[in-house]
Amino acid sequence: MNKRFIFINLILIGFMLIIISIPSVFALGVSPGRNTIDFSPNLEKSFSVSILNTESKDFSVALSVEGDLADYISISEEKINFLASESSKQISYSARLPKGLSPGLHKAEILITQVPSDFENSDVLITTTVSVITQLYVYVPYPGKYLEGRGDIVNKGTSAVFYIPIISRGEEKINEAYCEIEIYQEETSLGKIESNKVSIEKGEKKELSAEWQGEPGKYKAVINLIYDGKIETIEKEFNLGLENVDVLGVSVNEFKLGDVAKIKVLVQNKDSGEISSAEASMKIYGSENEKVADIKSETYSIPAKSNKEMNIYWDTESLDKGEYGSNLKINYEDKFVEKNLKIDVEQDSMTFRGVGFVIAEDAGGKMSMANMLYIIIGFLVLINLVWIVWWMRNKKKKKR
Amino acid sequence: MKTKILIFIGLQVLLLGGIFLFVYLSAPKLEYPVNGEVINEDFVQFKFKNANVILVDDNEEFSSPKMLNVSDSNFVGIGMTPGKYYWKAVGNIESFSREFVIGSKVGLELNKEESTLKNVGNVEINVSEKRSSGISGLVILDVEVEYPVNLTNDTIYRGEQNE
Repeated sequence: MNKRFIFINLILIGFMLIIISIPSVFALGVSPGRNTIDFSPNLEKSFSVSILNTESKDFSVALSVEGDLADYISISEEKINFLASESSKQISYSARLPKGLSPGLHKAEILITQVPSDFENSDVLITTTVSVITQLYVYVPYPGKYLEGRGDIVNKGTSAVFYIPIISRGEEKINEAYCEIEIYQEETSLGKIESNKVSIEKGEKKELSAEWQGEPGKYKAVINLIYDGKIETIEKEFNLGLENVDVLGVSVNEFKLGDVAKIKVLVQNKDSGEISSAEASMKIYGSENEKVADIKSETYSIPAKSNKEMNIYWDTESLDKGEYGSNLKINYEDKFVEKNLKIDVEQDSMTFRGVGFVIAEDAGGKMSMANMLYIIIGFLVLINLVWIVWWMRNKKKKKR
Repeated sequence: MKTKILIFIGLQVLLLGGIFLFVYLSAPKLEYPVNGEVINEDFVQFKFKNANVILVDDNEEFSSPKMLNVSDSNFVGIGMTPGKYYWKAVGNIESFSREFVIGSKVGLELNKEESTLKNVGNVEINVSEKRSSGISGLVILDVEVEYPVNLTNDTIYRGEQNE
């Protein structure tokens, strides 16, 4: 009876172990997510891609190609096995483009699919799994003039700055491109502004900009991108006014290197409504750009017009003394505020220093190195001209 | 006369040497990221010398630069989204500019226990479902966002960088 009981228990334990050992999380990454090139006939080019073992597990991936350019792509390997100790593996694919393609965007998609290690054929895969895709975008120029643009709007409190990056995707140069931006509030037009004007060569990228002053509120911008008689329209909504959340301070008390540091982030809710869900996260980097820590707080609610202390815990057991870079992010209700901080770690202290990261008001006020060299060269040319004139005149005088 | 010319040329060489030495010593020196560097992290540590301001922009004209004030350190890090960027340092004079690329990372996590998908990359992704019946669009997921799914046995969830 006793033996039977032990036997049944052993079977149950074995069954549970099998259940536990079946992975329940599948994760896969690929970098870069996209390579972009301009078309040229019969172009041959190779690309490197890193497949990332984000869960540090033993697994296999199968590679395949889709998209309208699939026939022009060849991959170095069709199946790759990962060990848990391998954080990434590099593969390459090459594109051999045809003589001609129709104007516009053409794509190839390299699919990387997590598969069982005994996998042979993706058509008979009968399990739930994940794929990540690295894309190849090939742009073929449009005949004539063709301009693509998008609108980036920066809220500066009492004004909105419109940045419109543009790229010429046509075969011909565009002599004049600019934007007319009409601002609306609830379907009522509040006026128009105009950006700077630029000329743009085939394949070139440039940026247009304009600024609009207004009261805090929600607005819509209709951006008409006008170039050599053609118009493209972009519509975008934007807010004006101060951000709802601000980081007032970051500090650590009673710290000793090797302990778990309690980082206190003091956050202010400036809005008249409660923030029901806010979370602080911090990425910390060493001097060689290596990621040292990626830490998060729990979720907090912040009452209206009040401050809240959010705590993030950082285990410093394997940390050395020195200076670290960090990126602090407060996520709240689908929005976020960010701050870049420097952290000085000593044996008995941890101090945070803020790094201002603002849109430059007046960038390039200083003389550039190229300008400095032009001035030096100009100065020397001038000196030599004076010297030659003086020498010629002296020579003439002597002849007389 | 010949001596005067020689003295004049000597003075010019000295002046030129002095100016170049001054420019060399006082010019900002950019160390990292090197020109053309592809960084597969969404955080960049800029390393430089002789500068107190860093300008970063997505166009060579620096028409809308982000400016980092760095008065007391020779390196500074900032979080950045994937794309091509240009940077230069400003001290007594401005340096030449360099370009670098923040590589995009597409990452998708399927948690079978919780029946969720999560974007674990650094760009917005477009997720579609591939079944024996065909491919259909599912959701566009922002970075770190989770999405509940009804798990069936033959589905491949595919994540790719969104437009």
